[in-house]
Amino acid sequence: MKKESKVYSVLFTFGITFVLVALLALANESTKEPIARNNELFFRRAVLFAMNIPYDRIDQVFDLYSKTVTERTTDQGILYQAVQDGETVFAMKFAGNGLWGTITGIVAISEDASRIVGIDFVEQNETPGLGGRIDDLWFKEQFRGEAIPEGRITMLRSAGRLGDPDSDNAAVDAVTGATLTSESVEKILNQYLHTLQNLVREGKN
Amino acid sequence: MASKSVQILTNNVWGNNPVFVQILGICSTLAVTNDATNTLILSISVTFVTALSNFFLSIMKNWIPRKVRMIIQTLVISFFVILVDIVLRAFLPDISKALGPYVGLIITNCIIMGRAEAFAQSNKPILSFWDGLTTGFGFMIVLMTIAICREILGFGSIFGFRLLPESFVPWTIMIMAPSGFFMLGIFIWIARGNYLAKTATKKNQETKP
Repeated sequence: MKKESKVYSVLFTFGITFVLVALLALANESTKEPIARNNELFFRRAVLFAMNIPYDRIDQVFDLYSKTVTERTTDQGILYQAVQDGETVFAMKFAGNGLWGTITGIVAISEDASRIVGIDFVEQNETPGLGGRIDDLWFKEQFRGEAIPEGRITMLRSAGRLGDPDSDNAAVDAVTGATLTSESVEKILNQYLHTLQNLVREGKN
Repeated sequence: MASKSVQILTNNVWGNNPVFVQILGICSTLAVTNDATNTLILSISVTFVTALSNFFLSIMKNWIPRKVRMIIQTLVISFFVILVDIVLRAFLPDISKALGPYVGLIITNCIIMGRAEAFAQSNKPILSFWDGLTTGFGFMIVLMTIAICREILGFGSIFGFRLLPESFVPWTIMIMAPSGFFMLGIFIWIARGNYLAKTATKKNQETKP
């Protein structure tokens, strides 16, 4: 068959595509297990971080999670709870639209639903180095113990610093250079904080 | 062969550098360079993809019909990019998380296809592999220089470690896209000025009797 003939070109292209796709399918299949495990690890790590449950090494996460966290299914989604320093902590998974893709994470609040215990992100596709910095420690740490009297938080724009030290003003610093991502996080969190507060308060009565 | 590989090395890293001489791969140069860690991983991935796609395209070059060669090049390149994505997700999940969509976007880096067209098509596999590798280094050197400057001035840190004192006020502009343009422009200016000046003096000496 001539190399420049139409039939050869079509067959060659099909052949190469077939081989490459087969190889990729193989690679995908053989890494399924570690990827699924990584995703589960990310999730459990996020729950523990949001609930402020400390651990020393990353390989303790699976055991610690099974030991401390209990899951309860409600009509609003799964409610995670754990007892930390004699106080019950409630957490919930949140998800919503960021600037580029879905942002998912965990938000935890205290037993009396008056303060955020912590937040963590499980998945986000924000611009690396800009919106992606919502996953930085300074950003997440400013939510620790933040009072939420009205069940909502506000993102402070152009604060020009890394983290709002005041944990009674129901406000945290936005990420500089990532206004849209910060606004999205604010919107998603406020929606879920409201649901979570109601769930926790209902559970008590 | 040895002298040719040395020539390829100096050419790709300096004399014919993909970024500041050929002005290719500018999108990623502007986009990721505000954080040195991300930049390093991205340029390693680009180097890997360029080298391997060059290698395989060079092996296949005698069987590829001319009419469909670009389709085949794109196929091979995307194959390696998806492979990098899978490997990062399985074994370096934290880095994969940090880079997010940029791994997939390596496909759009014109340097890779440029080398496949300009070099792998007409050279032997090993030499093509070397060409891809050195082009990747040339890309990495420029990106890392820009990234280090931007991270120090924009965050006061380097590879995430605090370098400048707390009292340093970060230059917010350095982490935003515009500073990518400034830094790249300054880099091209300095590098080319230096390079052009050198070649100019060389020419002068040659023309002198």
